[in-house]
Amino acid sequence: MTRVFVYQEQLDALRQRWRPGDPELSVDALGMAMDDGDVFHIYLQPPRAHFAGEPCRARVTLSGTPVAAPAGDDAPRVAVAVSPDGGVSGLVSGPAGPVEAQVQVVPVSAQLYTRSKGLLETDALAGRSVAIVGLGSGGSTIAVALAQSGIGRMVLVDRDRLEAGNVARHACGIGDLGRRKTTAVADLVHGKNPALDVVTADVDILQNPDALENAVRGTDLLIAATDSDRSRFVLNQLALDQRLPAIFGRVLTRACGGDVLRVRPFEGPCLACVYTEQFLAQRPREFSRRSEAREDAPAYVADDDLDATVQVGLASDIAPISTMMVKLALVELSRGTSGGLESLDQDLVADFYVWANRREGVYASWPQMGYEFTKPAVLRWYGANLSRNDACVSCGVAPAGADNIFANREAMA
Amino acid sequence: MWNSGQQQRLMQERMILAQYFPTLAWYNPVVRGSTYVEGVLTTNGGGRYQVRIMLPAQYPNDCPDMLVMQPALLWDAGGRPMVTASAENHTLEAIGGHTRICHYNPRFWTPQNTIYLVALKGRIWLEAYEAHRRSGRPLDDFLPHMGS
Repeated sequence: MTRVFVYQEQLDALRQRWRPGDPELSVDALGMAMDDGDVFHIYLQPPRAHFAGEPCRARVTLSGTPVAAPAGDDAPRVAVAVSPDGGVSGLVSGPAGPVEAQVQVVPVSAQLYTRSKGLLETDALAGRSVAIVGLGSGGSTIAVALAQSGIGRMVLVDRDRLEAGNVARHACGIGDLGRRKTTAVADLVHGKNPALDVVTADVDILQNPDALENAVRGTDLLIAATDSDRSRFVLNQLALDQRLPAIFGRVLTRACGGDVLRVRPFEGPCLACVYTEQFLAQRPREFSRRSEAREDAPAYVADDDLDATVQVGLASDIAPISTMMVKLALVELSRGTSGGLESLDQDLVADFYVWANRREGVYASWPQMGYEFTKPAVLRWYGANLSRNDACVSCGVAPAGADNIFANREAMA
Repeated sequence: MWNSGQQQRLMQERMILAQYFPTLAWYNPVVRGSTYVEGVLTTNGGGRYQVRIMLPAQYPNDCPDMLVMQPALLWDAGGRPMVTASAENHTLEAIGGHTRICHYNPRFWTPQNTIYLVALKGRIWLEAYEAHRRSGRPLDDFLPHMGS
């Protein structure tokens, strides 16, 4: 049977225009036909989520009577009637004349996550918010996963637009080419969670720190999914300044593996405690584009040398890092909600985790996976017990004796 | 205005710099992204160079720039102005016509690095510059620790 989908929130908005005493209220709508006319989606407002199909005319009528067959040359292809008691009926015109369709009203949120109940308290997460900074291949998939978990509010921060080179690893597709990553991902997550309150900020976080701080302020968790160590350090400081728990993740050269760090400000290690100059030199990060490598290298490095550093991995190499970041994020966000993730919370005691995709690069000396579990092997997570560095310049205790030059702006020449 | 975390950091940096580089003074100290440290460094051979270290808005998480303000432009041993990015000379593209010293590889910059360390590297670079001018050998020969 032909199926027609209309959206609850759009019907609710239409009902508010229906004055008592009016026999009916009829409005034109956008229909999108899919699967050779087996499925139609009807939009009374411009769609907020990604959509597909062949456009056609549709009409939605609020009426006490069942839907009538459209007539005339300019008749809409799809007609939907909604009665005051909420009953719906639909007709779709085809070569053989109008046929009855099964109309389904898509709930805003109430039913989308019914299958998660008992596993995760999505109602509790609906009151939680997360800021995701960096919407590349990692950040975009994390955004989708958190939206699917029932997060209530999401702040999306990035400075870039989606280019052809991104698509193979990004959650968005070629239909989004040229768009800002923030708005493209916002549409994507709305498709997974229509009730999600999404705020976008097109910000270069190195150039516009105030805008970054304002965008993130008030959220419950920071996801740092940017592609440079400099930007990670910026986000680390932001997390410390705002006492905001943060999850950092990155992929190493050729995506041979990666690491994930959880920062609970002033309770455990911060990024600067772990990512020392020596650490970064030993575990070089991945560059997926020459422009990324150029930004991060001295100006005298030749293009040929830069090309040697641009070695991308596959989406499947990045997915484990993203998934671990989502797990850690959900544990942080659901703490105190009796959400059913207590055992995972007990397991994820480490703040720093290492993952290997392949035995190459820094993992070249690792033994083959085989059947043993007593030696390091690829495709397994390893938690490291790292402590906070008391001498850390980012989260350590400031030594006494420094003049507060900021208390008196005229203090210094 | 620098945020509170940056203010704490800059107060510490000021204390350290006053002890080890007392000739360097602070300018626009409270204006985020406009603060710079400037003063004269003197080499072992008596050369005097006025250097400026400019702090980006995201300092210490972003790498500062270091310029030689006086002499307004430095020249290499071959008589060429040092205004372009050069691995051999450890310079970057000049800013405002002033020679720009490449002191740290931005890829490995961490907030653990300090203005003191930048100033120290500038001081070493100036020694290498004078050695280069005397000998004609690439400046890089005298700076193996600063290799990219």
